[in-house]
Amino acid sequence: MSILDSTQITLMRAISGATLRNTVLSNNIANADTPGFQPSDVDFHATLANALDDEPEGIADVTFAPEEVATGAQRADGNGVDAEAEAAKLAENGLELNALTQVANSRVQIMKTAMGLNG
Amino acid sequence: MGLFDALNISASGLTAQRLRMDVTSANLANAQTTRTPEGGPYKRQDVILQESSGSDTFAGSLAGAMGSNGAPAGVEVAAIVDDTTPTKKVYEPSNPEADAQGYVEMPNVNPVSEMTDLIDASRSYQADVTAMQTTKQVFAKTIELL
Amino acid sequence: MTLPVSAISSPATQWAVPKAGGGEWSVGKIGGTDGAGGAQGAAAEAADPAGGFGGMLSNAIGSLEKTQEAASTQASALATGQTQDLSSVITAVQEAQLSMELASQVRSKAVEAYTEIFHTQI
Repeated sequence: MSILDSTQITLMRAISGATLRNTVLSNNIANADTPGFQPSDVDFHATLANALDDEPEGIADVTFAPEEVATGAQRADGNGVDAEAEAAKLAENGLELNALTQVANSRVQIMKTAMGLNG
Repeated sequence: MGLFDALNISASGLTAQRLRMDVTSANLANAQTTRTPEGGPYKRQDVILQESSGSDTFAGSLAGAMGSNGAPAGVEVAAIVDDTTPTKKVYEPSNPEADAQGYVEMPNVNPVSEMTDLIDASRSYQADVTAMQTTKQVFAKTIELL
Repeated sequence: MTLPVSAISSPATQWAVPKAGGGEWSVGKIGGTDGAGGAQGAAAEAADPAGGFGGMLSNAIGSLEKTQEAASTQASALATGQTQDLSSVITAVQEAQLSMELASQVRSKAVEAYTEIFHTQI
């Protein structure tokens, strides 16, 4: 049985999902000029919310997968990437990843304080 | 590792955009070139981009061999091809390159569209650089978790 | 002549120790009347439920548990994307952190005080 409680495991899975989203969005930006390319995204919030609703005990086994998003605007060469929108999503995801990391870290510090390790 | 993947993907974008800029610069530089080693005027070149299949990384090959869909792997230059639009014919009888009717065959390079391509490529390059910086910063933050 | 010290409730009390394992991190409440016999010769008197030292500590631990739970809820909302306001998450976590620090310090001082009193030569 893990020393981490379920909220901490949820946070770690969220960090994992946000990391995957970072990779997928970077790929969208790198392929902003590739003919026929459609952007993808990872909706890790929804995946986690559903997992918590359906089966909270299995939260440690939740996996994330990228899915293609249907965008409105397409270019003549079949490319569907809006580079500015992808860059904005990437920045937002980066900030969220930082927030999740900070919160996870703080909870670990609380645990350490309780154990008597911090002063 | 997930975050190193993101860095490689952004790096592949940088490489591809840099190549685009190089080819566009070559087109611009040769906009007036009427004589090439192969004979005839300079032919404008184009870069064909395609999504990378990741088969040159171990993880990508493994995923491919196991039959699963490869993870996102960035972009690569599939080929650099000659543009097939016909060359321009300019009436200039005094030019030593003129043919019997006085026309000189000039390269099919339109400087305005080349400049647009250059700006587009450099903007994409910037976007990739920003993506790489975000990834690096996120990675550093995750390490602080320890 | 009696010493003007109010009764200390159950010396062998469970202090603020987080429960490890799959359950939520929570803080064990202070037992009111269990004298678990660990302290030999200690005057293990029944707690005064209306107040006193034990009651004060019990309240403190209770509010600590609330702050921890609030922080957990906020963290969960952040992970599932249901937060509208990042600052409320940060505030909740900060509060939890400070409450735990405070409780830790109170625990140390209380144990010190108890030890000192326990060793007072009568």
